[in-house]
Amino acid sequence: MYVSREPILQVKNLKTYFYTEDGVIKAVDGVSFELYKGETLGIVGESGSGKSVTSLTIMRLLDEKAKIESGEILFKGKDLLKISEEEMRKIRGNDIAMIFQEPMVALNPVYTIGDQIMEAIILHQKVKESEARKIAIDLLRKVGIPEPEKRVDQYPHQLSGGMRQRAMIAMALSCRPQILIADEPTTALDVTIQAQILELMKELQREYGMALIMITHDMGVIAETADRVAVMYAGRVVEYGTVDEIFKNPKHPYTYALLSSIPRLDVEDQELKSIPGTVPDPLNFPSGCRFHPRCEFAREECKNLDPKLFEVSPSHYTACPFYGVLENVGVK
Amino acid sequence: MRVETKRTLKRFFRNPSAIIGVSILVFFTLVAIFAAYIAPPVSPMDPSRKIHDPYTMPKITWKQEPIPPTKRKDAEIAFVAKGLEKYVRKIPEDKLRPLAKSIIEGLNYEGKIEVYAKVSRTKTKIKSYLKDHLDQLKEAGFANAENLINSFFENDLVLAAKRSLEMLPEFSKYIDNLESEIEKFRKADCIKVVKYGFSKLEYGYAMKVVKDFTGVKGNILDWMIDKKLINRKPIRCVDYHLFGMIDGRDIFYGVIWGTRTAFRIGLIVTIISTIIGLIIGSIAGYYGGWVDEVLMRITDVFLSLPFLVAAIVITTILGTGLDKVMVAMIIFGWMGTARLIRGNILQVKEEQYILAAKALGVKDFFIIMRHVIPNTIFPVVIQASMRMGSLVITAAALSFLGLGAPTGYADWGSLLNYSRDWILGAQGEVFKYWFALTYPGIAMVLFVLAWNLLGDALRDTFDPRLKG
Repeated sequence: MYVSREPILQVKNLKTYFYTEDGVIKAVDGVSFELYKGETLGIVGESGSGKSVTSLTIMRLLDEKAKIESGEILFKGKDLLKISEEEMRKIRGNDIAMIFQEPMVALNPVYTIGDQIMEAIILHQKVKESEARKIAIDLLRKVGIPEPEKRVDQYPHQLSGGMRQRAMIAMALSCRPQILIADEPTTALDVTIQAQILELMKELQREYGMALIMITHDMGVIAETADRVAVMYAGRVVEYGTVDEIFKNPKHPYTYALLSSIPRLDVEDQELKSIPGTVPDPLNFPSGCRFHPRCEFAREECKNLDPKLFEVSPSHYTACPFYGVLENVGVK
Repeated sequence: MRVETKRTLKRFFRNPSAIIGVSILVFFTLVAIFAAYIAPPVSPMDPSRKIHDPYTMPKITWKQEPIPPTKRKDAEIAFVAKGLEKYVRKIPEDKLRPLAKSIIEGLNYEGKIEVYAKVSRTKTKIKSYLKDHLDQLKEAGFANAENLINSFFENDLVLAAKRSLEMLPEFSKYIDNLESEIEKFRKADCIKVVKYGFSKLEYGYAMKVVKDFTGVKGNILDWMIDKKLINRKPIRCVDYHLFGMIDGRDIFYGVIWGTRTAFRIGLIVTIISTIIGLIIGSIAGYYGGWVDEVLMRITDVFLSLPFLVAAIVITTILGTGLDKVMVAMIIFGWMGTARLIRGNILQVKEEQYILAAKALGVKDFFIIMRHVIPNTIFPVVIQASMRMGSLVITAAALSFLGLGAPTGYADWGSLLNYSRDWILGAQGEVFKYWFALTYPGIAMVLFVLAWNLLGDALRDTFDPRLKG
């Protein structure tokens, strides 16, 4: 169903390694996905699975310790890894914007939110300060901040968490980017605020026609917002498909385990399931399939498995060649 | 003015410690600016000055001289006297020495007339003095002794000095020297003269002579507290010296002009050491890696040296003096700032708003100027304002040890140094000399307090993290 459309962003076999004194951390190890215009791609995984590093690699915002080993990031056919820093800087904010997990710390405490939104507007749109201020107030109104004329002169600490995240969104949207990367945008917020923010993002996505990369560890957020999902584990994409396919018909034991560990309200006296073990040490990942030490369906062959994706359907891929076993179990 | 600026200023001036701190500092600033009007500097040669000392000259009332000798002349005499003194020291102890001494004493009466004003302001004193010694002189083989006395009457003391030297064959070789020295003194600029000719003399006195002699206007001498009495004891004399005297110097004058010294030390040392600290700290913090490692270890080395010992070593190398002390304070004063700014930059560098700004495509330069600096500079500003006060205490401590300001310099620490021997008061009267310690002490306490209050207020007001 997506084949006919041209992807706006293509990540191909991306490898980002961190060289530390203790060894090489393969934070992102061969990740590929596409993002189509106007859709929402959810990237889901546990902490340390390489979601955030992937997004920072796309933005080229990693520090010197990180090295991009190989891969391509094609934005409208241009490889973002090959262009100069100056060109990249123009793309940031203008074409690809990003919002962060912690609205508490992602706003500079010494400037009013108006100042910070205006900074981006003046930077990319070359307008006067008074005009930028008007745009900032409009944006704040659009993201649902009451009394934007008053709020524009307030400091981050004078706003609540939800308000700050709205201000962050306003900042990110100030230049009408084509891609918005949201790195756990709701994790730090109250559940009621979470729903409002997600609703707002969906609304704005429709209005602006943006593509959205939603990075989260919350399956609920994915179910609510994403069109397609990439499940990441230990630096690799283990399953990739539409949201229906992933939730109704998971083809990777990890996805299956993730879905099983969501607490359910409709089942009484349910014991909360958890995935046994912990996320592997990034300094020495297990050989073969990196999930096999924790996998309840693991076999001997899993230790020597090649990291590649198997096609289940034209839109659905999994890294597990033995996904057939899951059909007998079914999603609980 | 922007709304936010107004609001910040309003908040600042609503802060009680800001009000107190700023008022005290404004007061001190005004005192420093108008020091010349509050405590006018007096030339030591100015015969119109009032010298009243109820302790040493209780009953003498002295009338002003109708025709004061020109200042220039007096300075010259003083110089010749001092210059001769130097040569007399070289003369071997024999019968010639009393004569030379008597001449110099006579000249000294002229030159340092203010010291002996209580005895006599007229030349008759010298005349009689020389007459008393006439026999002595003749005995020593001075046929021309009467000539010499005459030249005193002729009011030409340089000639007198020369004549007296001519009479002594051992002296004759010094005459040329003396003349050329006088010539140099007349031509050279003050600073050189001070270095050249007066290295062994009392600094303040020499400076005053230089000023009178060269006619230089301005402040070269203003910050010297004039020594009016030989008596070192603290003297309470409210009528003429509001805060009393110590070491023969007016405490009021010292406190007033000491304000300038305090500001000078505080501002210069703080600004320079803060800039050094900022540069070193931000290079270390921003670049990290081995640069950071090297710079911070150097900082550690500097921090590991005890300041007072280091200051003593530096003044041993460079010589004593206020400027040398300031150099020492700068060399050993930047480490705190460097550490502070480095820590802050390291912290701020990792903040998400820096990443967020980068994600919006903000240029590196603007990230540093708009996002890093405003979030790191305030602790430095606050620290600097707090240090401004404590530096004055450090300088006072060094002055107290005798490393700092030269004798007679208007400096609160020096004033306290003078009163060192009188801190315990007199027998049975513990508080007899309270004024010697209290006035400069109060000035110092207020100064330090004001800067600390200002620092507190700045932090309360401008650190946005504490706002709300």
